[in-house]
Amino acid sequence: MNDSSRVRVSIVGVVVAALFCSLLARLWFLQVNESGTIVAAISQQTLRTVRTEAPRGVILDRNGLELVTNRVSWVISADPKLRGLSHTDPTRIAVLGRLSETLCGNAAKTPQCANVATLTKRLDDPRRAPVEDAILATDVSNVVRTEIVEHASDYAHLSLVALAVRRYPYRNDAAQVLGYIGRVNADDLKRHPDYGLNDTIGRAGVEAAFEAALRGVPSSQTVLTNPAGQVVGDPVRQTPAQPGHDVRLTIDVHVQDAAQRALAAGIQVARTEDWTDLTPTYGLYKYRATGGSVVVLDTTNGDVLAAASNPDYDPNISIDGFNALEWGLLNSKQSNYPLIDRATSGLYAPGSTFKLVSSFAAVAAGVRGKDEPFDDQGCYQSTNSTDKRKKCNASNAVYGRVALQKAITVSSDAYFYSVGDALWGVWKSGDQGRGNAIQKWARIFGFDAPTGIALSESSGRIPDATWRRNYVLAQAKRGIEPYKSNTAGYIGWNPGDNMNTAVGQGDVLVTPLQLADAYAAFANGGTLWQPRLADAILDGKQVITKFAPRARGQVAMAADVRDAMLAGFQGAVQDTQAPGTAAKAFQGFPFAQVPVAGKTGTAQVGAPVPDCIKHLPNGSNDVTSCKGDTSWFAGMFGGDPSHPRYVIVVNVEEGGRGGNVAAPIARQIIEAMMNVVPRSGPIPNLTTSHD
Amino acid sequence: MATYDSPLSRSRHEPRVFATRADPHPIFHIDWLMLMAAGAVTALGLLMIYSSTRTHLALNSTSTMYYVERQGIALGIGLVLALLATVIDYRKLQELWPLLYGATLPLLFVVRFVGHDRGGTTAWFNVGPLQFQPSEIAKLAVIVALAGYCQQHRGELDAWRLAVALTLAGIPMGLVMLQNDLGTMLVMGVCVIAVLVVAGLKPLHLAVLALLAVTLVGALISTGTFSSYRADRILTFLDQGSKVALKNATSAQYSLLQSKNAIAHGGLTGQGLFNGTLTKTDAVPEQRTDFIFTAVGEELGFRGGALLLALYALIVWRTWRTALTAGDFFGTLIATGLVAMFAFQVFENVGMTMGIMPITGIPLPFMSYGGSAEIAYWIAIGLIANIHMRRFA
Repeated sequence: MNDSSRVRVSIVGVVVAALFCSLLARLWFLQVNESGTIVAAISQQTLRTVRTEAPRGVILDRNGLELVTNRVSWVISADPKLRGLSHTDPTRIAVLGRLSETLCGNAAKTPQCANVATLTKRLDDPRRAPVEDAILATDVSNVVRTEIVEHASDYAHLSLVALAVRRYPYRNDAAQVLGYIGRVNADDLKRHPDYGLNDTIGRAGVEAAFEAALRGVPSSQTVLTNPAGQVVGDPVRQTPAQPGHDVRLTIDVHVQDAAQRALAAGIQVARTEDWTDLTPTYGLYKYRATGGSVVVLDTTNGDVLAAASNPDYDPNISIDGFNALEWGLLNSKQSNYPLIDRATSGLYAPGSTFKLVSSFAAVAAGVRGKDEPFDDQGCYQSTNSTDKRKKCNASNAVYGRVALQKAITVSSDAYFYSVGDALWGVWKSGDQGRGNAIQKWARIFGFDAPTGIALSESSGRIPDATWRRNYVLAQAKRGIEPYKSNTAGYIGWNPGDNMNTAVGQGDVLVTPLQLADAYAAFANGGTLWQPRLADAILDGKQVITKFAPRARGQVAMAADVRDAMLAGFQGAVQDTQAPGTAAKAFQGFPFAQVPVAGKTGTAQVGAPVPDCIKHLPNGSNDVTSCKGDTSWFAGMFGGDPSHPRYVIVVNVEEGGRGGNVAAPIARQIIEAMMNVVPRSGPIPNLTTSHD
Repeated sequence: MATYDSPLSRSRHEPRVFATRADPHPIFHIDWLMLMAAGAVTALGLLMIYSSTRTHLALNSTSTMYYVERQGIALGIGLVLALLATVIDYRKLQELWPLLYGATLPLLFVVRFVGHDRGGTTAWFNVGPLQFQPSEIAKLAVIVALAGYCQQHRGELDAWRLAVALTLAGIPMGLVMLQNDLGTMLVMGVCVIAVLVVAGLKPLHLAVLALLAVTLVGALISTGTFSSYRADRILTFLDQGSKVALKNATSAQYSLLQSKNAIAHGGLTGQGLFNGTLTKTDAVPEQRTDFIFTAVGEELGFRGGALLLALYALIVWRTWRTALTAGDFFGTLIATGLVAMFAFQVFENVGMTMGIMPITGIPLPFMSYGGSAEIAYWIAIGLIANIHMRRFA
């Protein structure tokens, strides 16, 4: 062996050593020098955070019945990587094609069947954030679930998720109170940065008011995924979901359901009967009855037992978001805006039901003693006004000598016009305190202010001289006629304004809830409650927050005046001789079993129907160009006759006489609620009752 | 031959550590250090195959040991053959190499037509549930054949004999090239050069050979013989500076990016065994085979990677030392070829995962999943042990 061979083997050795050194150097450079920068990139390509909303809390009625609950829906979601693939990518084509076949199965007409184009649309929905999963199918069947689980590799990037979906088992009952849900949008995110886009959020009613309690805390799972989108191993990080808390309401679903049915039926009657009650001159006509509401309160604590609003809707259609057609219908004049909760947000002139306030004002201000008689000759002519047009009772009825009790029973407008006129005189003479007695008592009874119910509500309006002046100036400034061109003509507070206020018309606006709350204060002897809708927030059976009854005011009522008025209210319902304005509606009612007192109202809105009919050129009885009267009934019933336990307020927009439409609805609800044996026969249709 | 009686081991620079020629049987001179190094790398290989395949297998409801078991079977066969390769005196091959060589060529030829295709390469026979890749064995055959031929013509390696030697090497290399297996051909080429250099290749001839190789590669590229994926691999290798997003990457770019990401992700200490994010998520294509080093890099970090390279260095060093101390020139040449084979495969494979070599389909010895290669490397280990323990005989 020569040394040349040794040298040559050594050369090979040197070359090999050099190769190994270069490998080691490169390894050091890559792992120790460069490693920091790529960790973030690796997390981005392998980690996926899946947020799953916690099951939303259940909404219960006062007896624990589930008004709003959840059901499980299996959905197929696609991770963002599938969307990231181009439309020609074989994986994407294969996955969507296979999924479509699976969803449609043998029957192409099933609801879950979706063709590739539909799936593509759902996958590429531009409203989804780039990092977000897309929902390709909801409510998938067990057959589909099994197929996907068993052939997971054919469904790359897809996963099955069990979602809790909202359910409203009582459908339309209390729809506006319960509210509905929606998907979080960009605006919501500004207010709730902790939400994720497309999370569920309460949009109205209790769903919105108790959002924080109902929502719970979503679970968050960070998982490793392989390039096919499959989840690998156990989650890297996870925070468990905390289910939302339940909310127990004061609503009694049986009362609510009875209210809802009676209101709908009564509105139907108003629309279909041939009415002649306003004046026989115009022949037969039908009421438009565009909507209505019912409020039932417990006078001992302010509990809202029922709050119905018609027209209503089924909140179940909101669970996957209202579509454009549904949303359009729910917000259209044709459907009379069913989303509006007329019980808490509807603003109406209360008409004669407002005489509750005027009566106390008259006595307290000293313009009319409780026993001081007034000669009602059917019409009243102002002593203070230069406008000598007479204001008359409904149908120009003449009641003769009436004191407070009878004035309430028969609902003498002339009596209360004179009260309003007299108080205007006091106001004009400079005694603002006494002169504004109606306004003052209205506020004592909680009008012109929110009731504090845990829902969105309107405040209403109690007009006085200051309001009138500000209102007219504001309207004139905004260029609204006729105030702009005749500011001076409208700016004054005239006797007629105060007279209208005394009978709950003109510019007086109240919500049905405010009216019910005021009658509850009268019924219980003076406690004005904040209407209590939510009883408690629960974690399972455990009460977390209890909402105690809360008084928002006290009404100091002179006992003798209250007694006279209560007798008047009882007469209105029970006295068929006087006649009481709601007596026909309550004919045959077992008052011994369930005492009922109350007041009807027929509030003119704009021009009275007969007037506007008169103005039609061809003398037809077309009432479509008129705004009909609001039909009212405010009743107190149950318990001790001197301190009735419950209050009910019913109103029907453009529903005509309170005694004809609202009072029969109220009677039905009272009967259902108090377990009175239902009368046989139709809802009373009284064409002669007077208001 | 004049130098036959003075093997390289007689050098004054080579102290005898483990044995002396006074020991009774060659088996007592066996190189335990090398065997342990090869065993350690093989064990690590099984572990990393398990680590890089278990999540994928689990997702498909298959036994997580599927690949480990198959590799274990190959290892068992390899160990038996390695034992044979150790105990049968390698010197018999001086006479028998034409037989071995002659048996390999038909296998290489036939596999093109009846073989199993994988990733563009047609190099596998189906043998029952297992597959056999003759080109892995062919590497050894080429080395032995060349060593045998050069040994016979020691010191007489003129242009004519060189041409014969090159033809001997060129036929199997060409057949491998026809299987579209560029990587294996390259390995063979490197082994051939190493054997020829030690066999006494003249510098002028070496220069001519180098020129020939460059011309050949140039011709292959310019005539478009390179398939598109191969061009992609070379372009990717040359253009690593530009930033390419994963989702826009070509197949080779994707492999290289994920491979480098995985290794870099390991850092100094690694993410921990079974805890490599990219390894768990199957992010590196072909990780269990050609890119098995990325699993080591990510999960065991620089420390693990450096240890593995050290083990390879140990194997290569012991092989190189065997070449230096071999009892005859035939042994020296075989060992030299095996030094080149191991060293080049480790360098090319690990180098490509780190972006310092272009991507080719060369397995990492003892680590990559693949039965034929595992068997071939263990036969190679047996051969080295054989040469080493008979250095005094």
